[in-house]
Amino acid sequence: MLFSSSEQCPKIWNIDGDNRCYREGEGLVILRIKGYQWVSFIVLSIAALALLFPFYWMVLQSFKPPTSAIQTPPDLSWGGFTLDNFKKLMAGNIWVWTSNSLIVAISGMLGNVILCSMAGYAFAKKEFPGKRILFWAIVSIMMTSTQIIMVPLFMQIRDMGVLNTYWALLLPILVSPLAVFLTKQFMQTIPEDLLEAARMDGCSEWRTYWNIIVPVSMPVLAIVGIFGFITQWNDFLWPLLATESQNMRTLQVGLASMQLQNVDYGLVLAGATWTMAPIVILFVAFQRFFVKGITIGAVKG
Amino acid sequence: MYRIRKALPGYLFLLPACLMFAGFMFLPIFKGLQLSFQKWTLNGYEWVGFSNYNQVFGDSFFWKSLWITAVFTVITVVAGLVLSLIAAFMIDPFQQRMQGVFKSAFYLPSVAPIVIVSIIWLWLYHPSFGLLNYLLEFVGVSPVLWLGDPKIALFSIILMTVAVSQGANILILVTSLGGIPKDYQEAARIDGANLWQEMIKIKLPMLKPTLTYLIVVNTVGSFQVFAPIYMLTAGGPNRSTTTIGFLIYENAFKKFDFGVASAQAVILLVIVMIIAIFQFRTMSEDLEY
Repeated sequence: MLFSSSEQCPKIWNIDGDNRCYREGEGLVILRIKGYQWVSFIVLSIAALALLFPFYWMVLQSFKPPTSAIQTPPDLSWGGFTLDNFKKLMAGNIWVWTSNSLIVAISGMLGNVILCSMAGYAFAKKEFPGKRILFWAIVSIMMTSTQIIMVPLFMQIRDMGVLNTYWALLLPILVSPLAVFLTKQFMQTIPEDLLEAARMDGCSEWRTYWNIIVPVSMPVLAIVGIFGFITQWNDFLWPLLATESQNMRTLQVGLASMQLQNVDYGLVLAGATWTMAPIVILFVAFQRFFVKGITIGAVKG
Repeated sequence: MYRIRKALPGYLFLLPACLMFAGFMFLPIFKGLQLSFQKWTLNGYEWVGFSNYNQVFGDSFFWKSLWITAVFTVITVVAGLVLSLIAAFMIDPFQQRMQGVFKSAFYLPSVAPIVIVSIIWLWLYHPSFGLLNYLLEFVGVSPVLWLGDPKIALFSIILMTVAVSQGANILILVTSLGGIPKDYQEAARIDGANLWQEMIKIKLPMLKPTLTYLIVVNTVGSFQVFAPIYMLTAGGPNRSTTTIGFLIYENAFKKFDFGVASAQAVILLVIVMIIAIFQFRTMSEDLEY
């Protein structure tokens, strides 16, 4: 049921962005599509299904006998599920790779959340000479990437004698300019009165940050943390350069080497499904933060 | 003395992050600049002036890879943004929850690791048991050597990149469209504008700042493409997919010619910086960071 204006909307009902009124849980919105929107709906649905289908196919084949993946015509049927591919996967290096990936991703997450939020706090709430130039210097790094600095970074890490160790994997990923930027943007909106009150009560600088700023900034810290985790979990180039031995590989690099040496598609697809699973779980659990995080830096207001 | 004491907490909070940035971002950039003028000999590194640069500029492979990178970038960015815009315009009129469904559906593929996406697409593109050739056969078209034909390989990589990486673009555009005040839309309707005019004449111009931002971010990203090339074709066949990013990797980690690789990286950095400066110029009035 649609009302012409928000005033007419009963209090217990919801109003959406277009001032349209609807009742909570009223169908899956599809019922309220009208006219030309059906065309959009169908086109978008086909596009989305086409994009998601390959992932579905990957998961399906990883639970089928190894030869099923290379069958023509493609085997899309349900049934005949087996765990053979995963058993073979578990017999390999997958646990080592997974724990390496977890170490890297969690370190990236913690580093970004702690170190970058401290920097963001300084940029947002402290006054000191050179603030502007330091901030722009850090933000300008966003334009470069491992791609550009990989050669000298590799040689630097090699000269430090830590190539193929956790140090090599971790040192370059603990900070990210985007995390500094996002936390700074958010912390600027924290009212000065709150900090003033803390100071009046005699809070030390660190306590003000830890007991006031950090709890208030949880929404942005969650975003920074999730992005930090996913970025490092997905990263390929740096772990590829920084590690040599099988037991230092991350999942991405291990998977790539598996793909390049293997004709066993079933095994490779099981590995891909395994590597993708944490991303999907995080995505489903923290969808809101993804949407926010992606738009926070790009869209004003 | 008082001023230093007042500034001290700020510096202390910055110190850890700044040390990491300086050590692992800025230092490598300067070291790369230095390396680009050096050559590795038996006695260690030796200054060779511009000889690395001369070698790079005289190398036809370098110019070829620059051209390939430009083609890759222009097509992926333009096609990607056109498709994202169409999708965003289609998603915008829906209500919140339906918008959310589509936003997630398009965003999920773009958070998937590129290694996994590449593995899947290698399989879709497989000449004998790939799904794409099966579909082509189904409609009576002869199979295509997606990654094996020098004329087609680059476009296969472009197709994959465009298909899977529009999530963030779509999300940002939908959010921007949602931020356009409804008054404009109503005023246009009263003046008798149809849906098409409303999109082209009213909404598109208001998206300009967002589009500029996306164009630059996408261009800078595309210019450095590496992982899909590494996974799908390793620069081949016949070097038809060797982008500048992959060429640097090859020179440094296959031929161990770090001097030449650094010179190429410096050139890439300059190109990316020019694009970035272009961004700050055109966006300065919209920039509130």
